[in-house]
Amino acid sequence: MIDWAAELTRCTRCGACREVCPVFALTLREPDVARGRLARIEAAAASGRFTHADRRALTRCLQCGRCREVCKADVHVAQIVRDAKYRSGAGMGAAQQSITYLLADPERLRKLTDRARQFAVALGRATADGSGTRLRFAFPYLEAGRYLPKLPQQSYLSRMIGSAADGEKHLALFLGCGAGRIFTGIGEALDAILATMNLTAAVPEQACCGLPAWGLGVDDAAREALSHFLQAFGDKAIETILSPCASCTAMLQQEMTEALADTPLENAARIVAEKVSDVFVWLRENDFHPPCLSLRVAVHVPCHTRRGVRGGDALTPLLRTTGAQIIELPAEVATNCCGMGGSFGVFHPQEAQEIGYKKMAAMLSARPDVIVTSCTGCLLQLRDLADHFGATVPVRHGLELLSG
Amino acid sequence: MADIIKQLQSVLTAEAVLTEPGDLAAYATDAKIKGLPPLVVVLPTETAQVQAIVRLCAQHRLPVIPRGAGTGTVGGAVPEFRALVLDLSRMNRIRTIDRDELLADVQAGVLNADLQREAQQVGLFYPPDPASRATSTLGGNAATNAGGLRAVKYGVTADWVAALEVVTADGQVIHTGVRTRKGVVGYDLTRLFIGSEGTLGIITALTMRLMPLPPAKKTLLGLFATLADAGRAVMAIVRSPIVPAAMELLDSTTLRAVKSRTGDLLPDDIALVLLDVDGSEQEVEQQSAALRELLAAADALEVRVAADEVQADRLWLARRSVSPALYELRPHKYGEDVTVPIHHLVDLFDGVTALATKHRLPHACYGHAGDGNVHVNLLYDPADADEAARAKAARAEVFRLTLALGGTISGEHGVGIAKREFLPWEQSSAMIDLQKRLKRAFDPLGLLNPGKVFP
Repeated sequence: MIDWAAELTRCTRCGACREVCPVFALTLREPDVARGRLARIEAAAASGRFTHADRRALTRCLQCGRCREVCKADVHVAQIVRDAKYRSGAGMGAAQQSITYLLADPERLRKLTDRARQFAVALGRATADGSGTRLRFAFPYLEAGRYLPKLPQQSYLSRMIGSAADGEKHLALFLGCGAGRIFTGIGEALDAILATMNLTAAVPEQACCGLPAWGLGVDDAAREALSHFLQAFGDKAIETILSPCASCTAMLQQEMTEALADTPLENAARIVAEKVSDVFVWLRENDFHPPCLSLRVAVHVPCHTRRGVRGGDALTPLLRTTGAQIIELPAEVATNCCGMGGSFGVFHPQEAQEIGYKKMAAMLSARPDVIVTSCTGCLLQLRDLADHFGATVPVRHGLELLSG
Repeated sequence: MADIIKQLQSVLTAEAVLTEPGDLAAYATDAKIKGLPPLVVVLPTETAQVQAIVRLCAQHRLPVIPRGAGTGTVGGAVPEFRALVLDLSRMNRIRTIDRDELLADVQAGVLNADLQREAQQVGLFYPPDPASRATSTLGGNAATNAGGLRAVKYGVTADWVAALEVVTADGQVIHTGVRTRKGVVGYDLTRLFIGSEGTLGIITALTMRLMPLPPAKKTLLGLFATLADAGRAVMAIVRSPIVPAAMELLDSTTLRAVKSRTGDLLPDDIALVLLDVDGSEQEVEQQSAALRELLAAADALEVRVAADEVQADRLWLARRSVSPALYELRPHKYGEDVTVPIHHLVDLFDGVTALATKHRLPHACYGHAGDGNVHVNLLYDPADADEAARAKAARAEVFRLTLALGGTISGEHGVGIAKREFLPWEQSSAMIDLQKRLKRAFDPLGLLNPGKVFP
C-alpha cells in the first residue's frame, strides 16, 4: 500500500501534467489532470470520506501513466488513483465491480463469455469489418451503439486448455481474457510461431490476470484472480510464462507483487513475476526470425508496454526486421493512449472515443495496410474507432502479423 | 448563492460551471501557494461570457480571481476567501498570425509553447520563455509579466505585447495599445495591466509581437575555480559587444545539489557559466569564438562548446536538473526570484551562502546572470518546526540583502500573496498609496482579485 502522505507531498503542484494528460486535453478542467486529482484525493483523505462525486471523478483517470513521464517529482499518479479507488470503497460501478469477480475464476469466466456471446449475437448489429457487433439498444452501463467483439464458438482457451509443453524451454502460455476467450487468432499465431522454432507451450487452466479488478480498486477480486494464476503457473518446471497482452504482462510483472504484499502468496508472486515475459521481448531474445512483410504498418504501442512491461516495446523492432514499413506518427499523438484506459472506456465511452479519435485519425491518414498493437484492450478500442471512421483496414495483434 | 450559480449556468453551460467540492479543491492552489477552494469556478470560451460573468459578480458582490494555467508561484490566482475563479484555459484560440506586421492575435488562454510553435512554423519567433512555457498561458504570462532564460537578450513578456483586450470591473471591453510599431497616444495602459496580477482588469485577448526566427544557435559552458572568477567573466561579457541569448550562473553548492543527476558531467567545487548565442550561422560562429576568448581571458578552467543539439542539451542538463533535484534534499523550499544589478551578482551569491550557513539550511543559487535575476532556494522540512522557522527568517534576510544591493524582491514571479508583506520594504508609502488609488479607479467595488499585491 502506498504511503499517501509522502506521495501527495511529493507533488510540487507545478502543473507540468497539464501538458500531456489526454483527458485534460479534452476538457481543460483542472479536476481532470493529475494535479487536480491529487488535490481531490488529499481533500477526501483529510476529511476521511470519499463522496459519490469523488468516486465518479476517480474513474475519469486513464491510469495511463503519461503524467509520470513529465513529472519532475516522479509522483506515481496512476497508482495513487488506483489506491484511492480501493480506499473509497465499492459503490462506483457496482456492475463493473461484480464483473471483475466473474473474470477472476476460470469456470465463471467461461460461463460469462458464453452468455456474452449469446447476448451480443441476439442484440447487436454486425460492424462493417465483421469483427464485432454494435448494441442496438441501451442497457445498464452499456450505451446503445457500444462495440462488442465477435466471440468465437470455441475460444482458444477452451480448445487448448491443459495441453502440455514439449521442447526444452518449458514454456507456459498465459493468454488473458482477450486472447484466451475472444481473439482466437492470437494464440493460434503464437502456436505457429513456436512451431517454426520447434517449440510448444503448455496452456494451464487460467482466468483473468486481475488487472481489471486491481485498476478499479476491487482488491479482493484481483487477489482471487492472482491466486488462481499462481496455482496454475507456480509449477517449478515452468521456466518462462509468455504473455501476449501488454496489460496482463504489466499486471503480472509489476503489480502482482504489490497486490499480494503481506499475504502468504507474496513470495510465490515475487518468484513467478520474474518468469513472466512479454511475448515480443521473448521472441527477440530467442532469435526468432520473422517472415518478410511488404506492408505499411501503423503500430499502436500500448501504455502498459511503454510504462509497465519489462523490456519495453519489442514489437516495433521485430516488425522492422520483416521489412515492413513502420508509419511514423506525429509526436503529439504517437505516445497517446487509445482512450480505453481499462475501466475509463467503460465509464466514459464518449470521452474514451474522443481521446482515441485523434490517434486513429493520424494512423488512418497515413494509409496503413494494417494497424497492429499488443494489448487486447487496445485492440478492442482500436477496432471500435476504426469502424467509427468507416475504415475497413484490419486491426491485428502483433503476433498475427509475425506468424506470416 | 444558488441564484448566481443558476445565472452563471445560463451564461455558460452547466458543464462549464464547477461547484462540486472535489472539483473546487483543484483550484485552491497554484504551483506553490495553498489557499482555500473557491465558491465556484467558471470556464468561459468567449470574451462576451467573461463580460457577463464579471457583471454578475459585481451584482452579487462576489470577488473574481482570474486564472490561467495555475503555474504561478506567489498565489496570484489562489483564493483566500469566498470567490469566483475565472479559469481562462478554454479561451485558447490563436486567431491570426500576421507575417507582414509580425503580430499574433491570441486569446488569453493560448499556451506560450503553442504560440512559439505556431510562430516557428511560419519562420517567426516569440522569445519570452518562462520555465512553465509548455503549460502556462499568455494571459497569465502578461498578468505576471513573466520572464525566462532569454530575457537577457530579448526582454520579458511586456516587451512583446503590442495591445490588450481587457474586460474591466464594470464588464466593459477595452482595447489598449496599438497594432503599429510606435504609438504614444494617451497613457500606456497596456504596460499598466501587464504585471498587475488581475487586480485591474481581466485580460481576455492579446496582440503579441513576433520577430524573424534566428536561424542558428550555439551553447557554450565555462567552468571556473571560484564564483568570483565566474562573476568577473559575466561582467566581461556584459561589457562586451556580444549579447548572449541566455547567460546562466550556477554556484558550487547548487552543482553539488544536482550531482545525483549530472553524474560525471562536471567536476566538484566549480562555478559554472552557461551561455547560448543565436543569430545567423556567421554571427553565431563569431559570437561563440569571441565568447570563448572572453571566458578564457577571465581564467576559465575549461570552456566547452556544444557541437550539436544533443550536446547542447547535455550542457543544459545541469541547469534544468536544479529545480527537481532540490526536492531530494528537503520536501519544501522557498524559491525566490530576487534581482540585483549585475555587478552585485557575486555579492548576492556570497551573501545568501553566508546567511544559509548561519541558519543551517540547505540552499542553492542559480539563475539568469545576464539580467541579475537569481533563483535563491532555501530548503526546509515543514515537519521540522525549527528548520521551517529558520527558513522563514532567512528568506526575509534574503530580501533585505537584495534591497541593500539596490535590487528588487521579485524579477519575474510577482507579488501575489507570498510577497505582499514585503512590498513596503521596497516601495515608499506614497508609492503604495498611489497604486491603491489607481486600483480603486479601475475597480471601485474591490472585486478584481482583492487582497493580492498590497499588504
